Amino acid sequence: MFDFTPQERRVILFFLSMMIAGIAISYLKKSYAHNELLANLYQNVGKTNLNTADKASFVSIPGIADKLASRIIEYRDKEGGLLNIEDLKQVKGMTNYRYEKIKDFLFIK
Amino acid sequence: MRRPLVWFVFFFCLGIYLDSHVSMAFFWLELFTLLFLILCLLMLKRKVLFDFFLCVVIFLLGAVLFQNSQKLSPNHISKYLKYSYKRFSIVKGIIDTPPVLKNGRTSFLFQTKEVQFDHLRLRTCGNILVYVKGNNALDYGQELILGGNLYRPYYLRRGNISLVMNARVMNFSNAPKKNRGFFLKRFAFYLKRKIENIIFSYLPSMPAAILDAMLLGERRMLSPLINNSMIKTGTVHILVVSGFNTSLVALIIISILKLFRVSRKISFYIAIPLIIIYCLMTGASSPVVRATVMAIVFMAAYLLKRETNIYNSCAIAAGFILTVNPHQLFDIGFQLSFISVLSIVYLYPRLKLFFKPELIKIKPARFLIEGFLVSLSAWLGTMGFIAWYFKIFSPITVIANIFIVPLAALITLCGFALVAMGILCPVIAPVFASTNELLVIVLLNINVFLLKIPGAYFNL
Repeated sequence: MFDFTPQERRVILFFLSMMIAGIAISYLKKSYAHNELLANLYQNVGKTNLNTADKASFVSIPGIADKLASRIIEYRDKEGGLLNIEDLKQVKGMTNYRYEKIKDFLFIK
Repeated sequence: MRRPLVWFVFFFCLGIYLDSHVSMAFFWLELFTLLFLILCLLMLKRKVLFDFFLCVVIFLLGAVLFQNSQKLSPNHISKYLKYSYKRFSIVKGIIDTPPVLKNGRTSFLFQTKEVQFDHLRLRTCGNILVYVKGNNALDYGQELILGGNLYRPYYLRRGNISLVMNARVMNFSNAPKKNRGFFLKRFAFYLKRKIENIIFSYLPSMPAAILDAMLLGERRMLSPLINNSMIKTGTVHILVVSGFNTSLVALIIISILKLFRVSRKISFYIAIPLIIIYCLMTGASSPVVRATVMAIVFMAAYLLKRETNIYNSCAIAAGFILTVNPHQLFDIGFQLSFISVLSIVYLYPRLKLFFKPELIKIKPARFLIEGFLVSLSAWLGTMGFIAWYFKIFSPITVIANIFIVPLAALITLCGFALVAMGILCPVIAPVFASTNELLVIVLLNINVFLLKIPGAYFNL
């Protein structure tokens, strides 16, 4: 059917055996890999500190627009800082849905 | 046998197809593959039996490869998330595609390295699709830490991407200046940005969007109205980068080098890396990879003084694409690309024998008839697939392609000339821009005129 010379056949078989071995190794590596726990390091890395953030930092959070950011800052300045993230619910325009959406982006220090 | 690779790819595809429908344990498949490989070795001197066992090995290889591609490592990011469940997470990784700004948000593929859920930081792998609010001046290859809700949308089945993150950039990783992307890809994306800047600075938005799609396969600025009208006339293939563009790029490079009296051999050595860069620039979709591999095979065959066979080159391209990602077999772009090329290669000479266009003495008329036959061959090959996938049947395609394909070639050439002038001599560039604009308007008008012909297309 293919009319290969004996040398060509050997080359094809060598190539195929390499591929088969490679696939098997790749599959085994995936099967026996473990979840690797690295650390518990950056709990608040990149999160926004509710008590120090400026307007631009608030606006970069999905779910907070210009107006709401201004209201949060106004409320924070009025209260002299926030003690709990849940205090955000007191801000005008902060619905429960929106609060749930943004709370994970924030922390208080 | 002059086309052994065609049979290899046929059995390989069959293996992938059957494995996608019939589930079998990887262990048994691998065992059978090894068994038949050993049988091949034993039958090394018996022609018929060797060939038979070789076909079986290649068939099983397709199945094994497909199973392997479906297996996800326990570290894979999608393994950490249950279906239809949103989870806040912090992900560290590298931007894997050039970020695209659309509707006020930037999107890109993100190659994950580490993920943090509820204060546990885990090593991970796999790509996610990321949306970030606003224009964040991000770039391919940048290492970032992103935070946001990770979820698995029901609609997303793009190859190996299964998760989406609505994120905000939390931090540039420790080395913000160090770009970790593949240098060739980085260079290709840099060139793409430069070319796009030239196109959009010299042309009004609509012709610029069309030229951007034709030269770089970038369709984000293209109006859906134009896209739909091109689908209806069956000429939408000119708005995506395909083999047509790749061969044009190769032709331009070789012609320019010929102008400088560079020998054909050296011009091929120069053209090969350049078309690879063009392939990366345009996103390396199946049709472009096919055309790039085929062009490289042709040039390599010339350099190695070997005979070329278009079916074998096609098979090499298909084998390469499927080995990298066996799921491409089910991709419409892959199917249409190969079917159209194969039908042109197979049907065109036969139609030419039947219609005998060489008997026509008037050159332009002969050119038109030959164009009609090429278009007819491609249409005959692809109409079933197009009717199945797009639920549309367009007899006008055959006529439309005769006029639109040469015009598209002219626009592409003019577009490349505009880009070259934009870089080398910006003073002359507006002249090329005007020609481009005119040609794009002519193309759109021809398309609209063809659409208005009764019976041009039927929605199925």
